[in-house]
Amino acid sequence: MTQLALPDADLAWVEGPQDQRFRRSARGALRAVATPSVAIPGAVFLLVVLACFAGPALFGIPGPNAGSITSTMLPLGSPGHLLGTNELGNDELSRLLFGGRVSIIVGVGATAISLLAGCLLGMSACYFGGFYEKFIMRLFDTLLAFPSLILALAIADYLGPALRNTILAISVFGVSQFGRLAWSQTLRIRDRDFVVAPRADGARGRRIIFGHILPNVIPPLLGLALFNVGTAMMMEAGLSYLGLGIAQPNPSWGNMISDGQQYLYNAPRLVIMPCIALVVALVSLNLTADAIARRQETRA
Amino acid sequence: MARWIIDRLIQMIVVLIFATVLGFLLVRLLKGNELFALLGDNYTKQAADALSAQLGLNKPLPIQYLTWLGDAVRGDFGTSAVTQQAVGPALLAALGPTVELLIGAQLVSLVLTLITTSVSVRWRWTERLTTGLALLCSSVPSFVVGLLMIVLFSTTLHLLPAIAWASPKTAGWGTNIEGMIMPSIALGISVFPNYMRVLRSQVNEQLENEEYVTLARMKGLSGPRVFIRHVVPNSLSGLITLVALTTGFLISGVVIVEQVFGIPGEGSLVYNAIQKRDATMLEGAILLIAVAVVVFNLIGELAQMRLDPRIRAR
Amino acid sequence: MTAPAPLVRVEDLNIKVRNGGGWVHLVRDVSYAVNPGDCLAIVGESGAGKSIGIRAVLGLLDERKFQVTGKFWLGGVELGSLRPAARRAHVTRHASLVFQDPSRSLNPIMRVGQQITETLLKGSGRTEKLNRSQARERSIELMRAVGIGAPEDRYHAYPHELSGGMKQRIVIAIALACGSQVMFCDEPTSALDVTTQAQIMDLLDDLRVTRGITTVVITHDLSLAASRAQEVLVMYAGQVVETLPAADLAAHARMPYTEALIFAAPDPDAEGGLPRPIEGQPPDPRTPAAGCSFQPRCGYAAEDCAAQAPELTRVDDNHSLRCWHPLATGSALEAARP
Repeated sequence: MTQLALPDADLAWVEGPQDQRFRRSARGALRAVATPSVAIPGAVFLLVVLACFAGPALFGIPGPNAGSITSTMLPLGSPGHLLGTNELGNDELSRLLFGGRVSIIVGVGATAISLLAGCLLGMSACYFGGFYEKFIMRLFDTLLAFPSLILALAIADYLGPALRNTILAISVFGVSQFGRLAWSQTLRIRDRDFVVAPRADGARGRRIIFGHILPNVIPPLLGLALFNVGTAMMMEAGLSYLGLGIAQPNPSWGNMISDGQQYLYNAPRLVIMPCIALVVALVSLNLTADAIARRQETRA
Repeated sequence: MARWIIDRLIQMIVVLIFATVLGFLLVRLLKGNELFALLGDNYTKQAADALSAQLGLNKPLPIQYLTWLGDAVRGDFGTSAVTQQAVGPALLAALGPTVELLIGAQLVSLVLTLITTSVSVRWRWTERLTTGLALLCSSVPSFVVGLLMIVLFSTTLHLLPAIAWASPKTAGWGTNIEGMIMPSIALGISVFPNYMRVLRSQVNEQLENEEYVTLARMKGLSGPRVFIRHVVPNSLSGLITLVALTTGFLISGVVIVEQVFGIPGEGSLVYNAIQKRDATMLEGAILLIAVAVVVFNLIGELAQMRLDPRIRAR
Repeated sequence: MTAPAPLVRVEDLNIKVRNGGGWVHLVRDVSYAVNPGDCLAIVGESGAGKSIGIRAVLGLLDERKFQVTGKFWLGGVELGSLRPAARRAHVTRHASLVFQDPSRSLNPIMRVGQQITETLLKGSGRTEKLNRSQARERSIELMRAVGIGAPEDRYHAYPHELSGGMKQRIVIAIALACGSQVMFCDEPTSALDVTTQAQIMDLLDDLRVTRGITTVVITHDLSLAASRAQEVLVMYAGQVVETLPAADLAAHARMPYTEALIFAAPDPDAEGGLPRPIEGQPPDPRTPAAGCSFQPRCGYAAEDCAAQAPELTRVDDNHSLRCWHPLATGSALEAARP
């Protein structure tokens, strides 16, 4: 293994500003949270998350499938069922909260997978270069060109309607987004600090990757990640709406909407309520992500 | 410039091939299930094998791909084993409604973009408002918008029909367009935020940095005139590129919106094909869609190159 | 004998710009007046506040960032007495603007002829109702008047198809089309080559004489100013440091800065005349000096110059300056030149 022709002195210089940058961006992230434009929608979203995960236990709300035929289609404000029940007698509020759990889990899970896979693929593509890089980039292009929903549809359909499968199906599209970003970030460093081909000897190479490349790649990816959670949640809602995501009896905002569609004329609340829940969650999330992105921009 | 085009074309073809391979593989995943769907209760190993041989499913994958691609290029998309209709003509018939929806959606977003940009530039205090509006629109899925509109305009106000599609040949263009208003809005709203962001930044750049704007005002031209005749045309290059590139994204959204409103377009075709395990139909549809998306992306990139003011100024 | 009322008059122009929490004083107590048919040249280094000055008078500065005080008269009307809409209408009727870079002054995707015609048809300065073909004819006439050959052909050209000098002529034609009697030119020739510079200045001078158009020209080129203007206003660090008639400028200039400018300009006629650039940099407006702002770079600075800032004092009929120790008149200057 040939010695990496990068003297320690150079490496020390490389270490300096970039390590600081990582620390700075972490600090910057914390400071960003403190501003009202971030904190307010952020708090709303966290409230939604809290309600969905802790709500049922806290308020003693019945399970989403605990209804009986005796209490079908109760309207809003009925005793014991604040938001009424659906055609199977299940409590709507409960279904909303449990459905929210699913949406959030899918959103975060899919984003996490996309982030990881995209990061790995993008960074390695840039680092190793050559045919491998070209192949990966074309793969990303293809995934981006391919209508995401159709892709997700087909995958979800093949794998079958289960939570894990929905997450996988949605994560595919995000991989290329994160991958391209990771690639471009790695490119900037590669060009700047490594004039020599990156055939590093073991320890140095690993140190370079973890010590220098990662700190520069992660922050922008995290910024994108927040937006991605919203997109993933939207896709899950779409998939479930089409019947190819989460399936009954498990509620999801998407499938609640499609189920409620048949009662659009006499009981529009069955459609409107999950819609509102979805909109509130997504808007608060996007407002937060947008406010954070704006702060990054003005500081850059 | 020519070299760049050739370079890009080659990349596009590679992506196209990848896309078709991907689509093909996806469908193959379904083809296995197709056998279940077709045979139903009569499913036995032998019957499955026989059907498989009959449909050509037992040949090696690459051969199947090439055969299919060869046929498709010649226009023969095969016959759907599920619906017994020829795939090609079915794809063609479904094209109309989808194209109309796409055009409608683009129109809606462009109009919205122009209005919001003009308003936020003329009355600066509305800038945050319009940005907030845009954010709201990008946070709401198109099917939610569609459904809420149906609830409001069809069920409550009885203004617009919930069933969107009425063929212009049989029901006339009036009814057709009336039906397509809501779906177009539903789909268009999801992309207008991006358009507005791009147009607004370019417009602001023109207003701040370009002296011809100051000069035009000094000439005594009215604000609106300067804006519409001078600033906007100079701000369109980025937007035009974006419009082309967004078409791919819209094609995705078409699938859902067509379901909400019952429009018999390509989206519904794809959806039904997936549901019914209709592999042949799906193959054809995916090919069509992949080609369309890639072509639009190429148009977008070409537009970007062409409309770049630095190039025009040469 | 009463002099005709000045067409342009500026009194105590002060401009402050928002910086951080406070204000930075960019332009201080600038006053001038231009008689009808005359040409005033405002000269100074970059950043002296010249461009900002006229933009302030014309109301082109962003109110959120800049604070402008002072009284301005245009065409005999005091601009402060008008409401914003009326003020803008008055300014566009009576003044026109010629910028430094003609490439940026013209709409890149509109044909040049049309940009002139548009002014005639839709500009607020239009004096008569013209129909399209009349306006077109008039535009071509104007193009000819500013020295564009074969105007009928050039009418359909796009800006990027024309040379710099040609574009600037179009801009001037547009200014004429506005029908205004005052033309403000912000470094109209700086972006052009030397030959074209002379041609454009000739054109402006010609228009001044034949059409009686009053001009205010901003330039950093003192020789240009001296050769074409009637009066010269020298600015430094946001203040007027000398005003004097343009005739025989070198002989009459008495402010050391003006002298330095003369020496700094390339002059092929001077014997052994290599230009001597002024050393140092103009002061940062954020940290104003207590004394004379030119003192750090002045070759003649004395002790009291740094202690207190001089006022603008009148030394003659048309001559004012701001200096504690102005140079001796004329002959000393000529002799001092190598």
